[in-house]
Amino acid sequence: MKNDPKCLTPILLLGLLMDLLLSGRAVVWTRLGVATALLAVLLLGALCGAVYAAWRYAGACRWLRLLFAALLVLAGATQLLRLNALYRYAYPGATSLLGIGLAVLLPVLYLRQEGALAQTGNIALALFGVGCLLLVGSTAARLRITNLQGAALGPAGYVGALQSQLWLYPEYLLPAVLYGKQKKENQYPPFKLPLWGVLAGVASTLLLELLFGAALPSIQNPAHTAAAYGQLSVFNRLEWVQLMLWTVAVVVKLALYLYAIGGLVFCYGRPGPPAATLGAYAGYGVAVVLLAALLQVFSLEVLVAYQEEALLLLAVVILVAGGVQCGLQKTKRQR
Amino acid sequence: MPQEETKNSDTLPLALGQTLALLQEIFGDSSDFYVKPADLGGVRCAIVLFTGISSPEKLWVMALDAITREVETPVADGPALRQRLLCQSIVPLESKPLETKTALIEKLSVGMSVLLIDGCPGGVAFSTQEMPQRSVSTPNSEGNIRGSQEAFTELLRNNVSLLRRQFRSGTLVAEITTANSRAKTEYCICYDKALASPKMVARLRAELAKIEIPVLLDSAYFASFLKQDKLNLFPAAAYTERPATACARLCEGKLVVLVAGSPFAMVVPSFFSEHFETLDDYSSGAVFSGGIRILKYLAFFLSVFGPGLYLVAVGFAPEMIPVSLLAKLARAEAETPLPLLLEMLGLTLLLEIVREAGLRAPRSIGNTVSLVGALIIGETAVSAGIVSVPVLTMAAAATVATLAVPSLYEQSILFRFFILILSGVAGVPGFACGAVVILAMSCGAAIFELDYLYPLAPLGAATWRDGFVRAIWSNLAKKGYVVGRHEK
Repeated sequence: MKNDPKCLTPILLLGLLMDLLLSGRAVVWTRLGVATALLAVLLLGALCGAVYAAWRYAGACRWLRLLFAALLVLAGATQLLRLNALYRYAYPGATSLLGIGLAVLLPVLYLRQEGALAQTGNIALALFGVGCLLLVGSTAARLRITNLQGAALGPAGYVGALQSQLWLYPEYLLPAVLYGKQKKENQYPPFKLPLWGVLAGVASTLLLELLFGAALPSIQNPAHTAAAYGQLSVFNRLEWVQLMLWTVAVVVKLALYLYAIGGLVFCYGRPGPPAATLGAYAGYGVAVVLLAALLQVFSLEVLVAYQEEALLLLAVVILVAGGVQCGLQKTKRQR
Repeated sequence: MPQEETKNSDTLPLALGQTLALLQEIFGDSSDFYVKPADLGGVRCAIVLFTGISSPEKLWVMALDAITREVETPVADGPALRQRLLCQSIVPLESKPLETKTALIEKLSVGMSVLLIDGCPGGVAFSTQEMPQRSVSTPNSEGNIRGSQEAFTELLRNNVSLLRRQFRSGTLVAEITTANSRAKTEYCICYDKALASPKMVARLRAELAKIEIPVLLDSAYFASFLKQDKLNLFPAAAYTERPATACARLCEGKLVVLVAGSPFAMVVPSFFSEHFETLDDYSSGAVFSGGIRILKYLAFFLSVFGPGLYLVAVGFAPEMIPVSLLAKLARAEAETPLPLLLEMLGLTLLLEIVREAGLRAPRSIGNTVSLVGALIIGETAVSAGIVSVPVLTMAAAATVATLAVPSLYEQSILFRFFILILSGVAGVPGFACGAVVILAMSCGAAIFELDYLYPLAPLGAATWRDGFVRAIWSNLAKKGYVVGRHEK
């Protein structure tokens, strides 16, 4: 394949699917998920499209770019903490935050260039798909149609499901940074990621509900527990497959964040794809590990909730700043 | 101005005596430097050459006999003699006169004889090279059953002729240039001008011309300069000692670089999948060669990831292993005193030492070294309870698997130790991150803006045509592949 300008959508998709399928965020009853899916896609798509359009104007503001970059560092630290928590749960005492941080950030060194990042993202997404199929196939014998919940659901359930599907991940906002410079005919379709995200969420919920039934809400790491149920020939437990997939996905996510930070802070306005320097890589690595070390005193759930609120706030600021900037430009043109 | 000065200082003097004094100053200490004063048509001349690389017999048969017969009548002066030799004589001498010190030294160094003529700067050169050389033999490092059994030798011209004999088309271009090295080594860029991308050729030509290197002994010296990411461990080029393989690469629009003194041709651009291809793949049946190729990929993965995966499975994530196997492995591990990482690392190191010693030792004792090493490791270490049998089996399997893909053996060894250490220190995340590092390196090892993993990733028709497996010849012939044109 010729090294033409690369498409980073597979990485965005991988990051989103990883968050949705493996973090347990998408856990709602399937019926609720199906009922609210269309509305969630429309709302998320509208928000993504608006942010995408507003960033063309608001992106010129240095402080806003720095804020975005800071949030990406925070998101990176959160990913690291979440991965560390899962490893501590799976193999208590075998790993440390620093060890995992160093291991995860090492490959990012080779993913600073757009070509390597895009190609690795493609392969990682393919591996992720194969791994998920393997895990689903290995647990197929335990899936029971009778596990689907049929109890009556009230309006609170639908609202809760919608809220869960509207959870804002950094990947929804990143197309504005990654594809913002493209011409109008090549613009990024804003509904693509929300559609995939919501569908994947519903599908994963369906599988988990078929596997766990009514016990689903009480399980701490549903995807990990489901993987541990996997049986393939003489292999009795397959949670290591899930752990490896998640580690690979976190590496690619961290590399994407560094790439986006490169575009936001170091290479903004320069022609060609941004590529983080070795210095920027080192700074990013230190910042992510240090921030994760500082934040590990907080509960992961609280941290993730704060991150989501901060992203929402950033989206609102981008919309307002973009709107004001656009209005000012139009007024200038009219004069 | 400085350029003009250099040009002037490079020009040879008109007087023969001064030229000879200059040569005496430069080569006087060399006992193989030969000077013979002569008189041709009443003009003072001198024949200079290096014995050993230039043949006086050839010089006599080819030139001197004819010259003495042609120049029987007196000639007015040196320039007239030179003009007569260059334009009117049938003597097979070089078409251009030598007028500079650099050109004179270069021609003498490549084995030519030079006739220096009094009254004009420098003289004329005769191609009288006769160098001791190795005859064309079978390749040492590329084992093949079918196809041509010829291998390149050390002589650049011979190698170009071997290539031309295989590639009998008028479109083959062989550009010979002198490298910016102290030894002024020659190299040759070969390509098919109908297939190779002109941009790629121009870029390679420019990149190689830029390189300044003290010594150039092999085409591999160039590869590091061509790498876009210097931290990447994957090779930027492939190497072959078979003219037939080089010819096949030329037919794909690739470029072949030959360096004087090296029997290995460098092929650029090179893709990851090429390391798993051999000439035999195309001589055998498609099904068999496809199976062998998959076997080679598995061998590469075993050599790189095998020991690391074993360490992760036994030391960190025992749920990966079936229970019956786990019990046996645990029992074997319980009987050895060393931690698993040290045991595997030590054993792998020892096997590499044995392999390296067997490779570098004189042939007469190479086999003994390998045999003694294998005995010590295989028999004694296990009997003494220092290493366990499963660890030995895995380390040996990985070492043997390395040899299934010989062109990637450097990378296999480095990656194996890298994965081993990461897995031993960090367990599952270490193993996964090590694998991503290798994946990222392979994805980032682009050369000339072409993806290194083509045609393996992204998966497409080309992957199954000549990637993981190969299609039947009728299909391959119909959809021939040319680099830079058919990647989509």
